[in-house]
Parts: sequence; C-alpha cells; structure tokens
Amino acid sequence: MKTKQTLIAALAGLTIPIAATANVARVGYAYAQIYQANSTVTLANVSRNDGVNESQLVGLKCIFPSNDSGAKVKVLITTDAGTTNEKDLSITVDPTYFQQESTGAGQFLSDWVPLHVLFFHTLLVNLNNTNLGTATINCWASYWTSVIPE
Amino acid sequence: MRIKHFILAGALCLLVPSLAGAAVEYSYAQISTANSTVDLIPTTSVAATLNAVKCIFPSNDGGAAVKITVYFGVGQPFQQVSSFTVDPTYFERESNGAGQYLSGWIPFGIGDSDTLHVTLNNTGLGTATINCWASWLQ
Repeated sequence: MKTKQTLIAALAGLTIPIAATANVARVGYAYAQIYQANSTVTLANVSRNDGVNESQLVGLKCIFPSNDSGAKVKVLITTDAGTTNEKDLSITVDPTYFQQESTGAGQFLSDWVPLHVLFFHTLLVNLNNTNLGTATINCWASYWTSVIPE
Repeated sequence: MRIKHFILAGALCLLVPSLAGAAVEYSYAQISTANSTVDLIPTTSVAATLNAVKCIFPSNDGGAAVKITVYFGVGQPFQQVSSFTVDPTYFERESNGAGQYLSGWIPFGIGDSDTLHVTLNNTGLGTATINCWASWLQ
C-alpha cells in the first residue's frame, strides 16, 4: 500500500510542474533617447495587476554617437516598486571600448545586453546621464509578462 | 500490483515529453506590399517558445517601420496578443553593402504552454522591403 501511495505522490509531483507552466505571455519592446544634460528619461514602464505571473526584463541595447566624447548612460531598474520584493538595480553603460559601425556615422554599439531581471507586477527602467557627459544616446529594451489564465 | 504498474506507466508518459526535448526552429518572412500582413511564424500546432526576432531594413527605408504581433494561446479564451513596432530610425547600419539598418536579435526567450503565431504588419507604417527572422522552439 505504501508503494502505491509513493507512486501516486510521485505522479502528482510530475503533474505540478506542468500546471505551473500553464501561463500565457505578452512580449514588449521599448525605445527611448536621452540627450539633455543631467536628465532622466523613461525607457520602459510596465504595470500588470491582472493575475500576473513571473515576468522578465530580457535585454537592453544602446547606441552611442560617434562623437560621444566619453558620455555614458546609467540604466536604473526598479522592479515591483512598493512591495516587499522591490529591487533597485543600476548599471552604467560606457561605450569606450564598444565596436563601431564602420560606415554610416560610426556609432558605438552595445549590442543586446542580456539582463533577465525577473519581476511580478511592475517594472520601471530609466536612463540617466547625471555627471556622465552629454550625447544623444538611443536605447531599447525587450521584456515579457505572463499571466496564469483563469 | 496492476494499479502500481498502471501508475508507473502514467508517470512515464508524463516524463516522456519533457525528455524528448524541443525542436529548434528558424523562420523568415519579407514584407513589401503596403498595408499588408505576413506570417513570420505560422500558428504552431503545439506549445512554443519565442527566442528572438531580427529585422533588416533597406538603406533607402524612408522611415518605414514594421509592427510585430505575437499571439500565444491562439484561439483559446485566454489568448494573449501583444505587439510592438520596430522603427529603424536610430539603428546601426551594416558596414558595407547597401548600408541596411539592423535591429540585431531582439531577445525574448519566452516559453508558453500553448500555441504561438507571429505576424508582420506595415499598415500606416510606410512601405519598404523589410526582412525579418525569428528563432523559436517547439
């Protein structure tokens, strides 16, 4: 009898992961440009309150002008603001050693930087250049949200 | 004893799909006709994961953009539809050849428990010959 119960428990254990992945997803893509000295602009502002499941900021890409002169950009990421899960992260993207377009304007390219930052309800991604020099910097982000269907 | 065997067989059946692994898929589509829609990934018959999307715009793009729409759970009550517009205005350009505008691979890596369908649409977004690719799993 114990063997049967163990097998039933094992069967249930196998079923649970399948149920846990039963969600549907939406993808997102965002763009912002920063060029004013000591300013902040919003790249992505995502809010989901409709039974949201795990969501993710997947990647980030920035392109810096060829006449960048050392200007950088700080990327400020806040997830699940105002909750016990809130996380505040930041990275500074410095183009100094980036590859450059060899034709066109010769822009500096970050390519897509993989981030995979998880969130459940809200995501805010800001660009800031305070004390980081001034240049016209273009950035993109990709993300997805998922929902457990009712 | 028979019950035990039955349960064991059931457990094995559940394990098989996860052990079988996913098939790697790669799709391509070109959109060139004004105000049209083309499939980048036709509706899959099984659950799928969208890994990434890439588009290349011609050097004489003239401001044309493309709207990418992603459907998960096609035809289901819980179907989710999301879309975004890829605008090449500030994209990098290829280093030789025609100087096309390159999106690079836009990463998503989103798996879903249901079917996937991805379309390209250029309604109201100008007209150019835009090539797109998708990497996905099913």
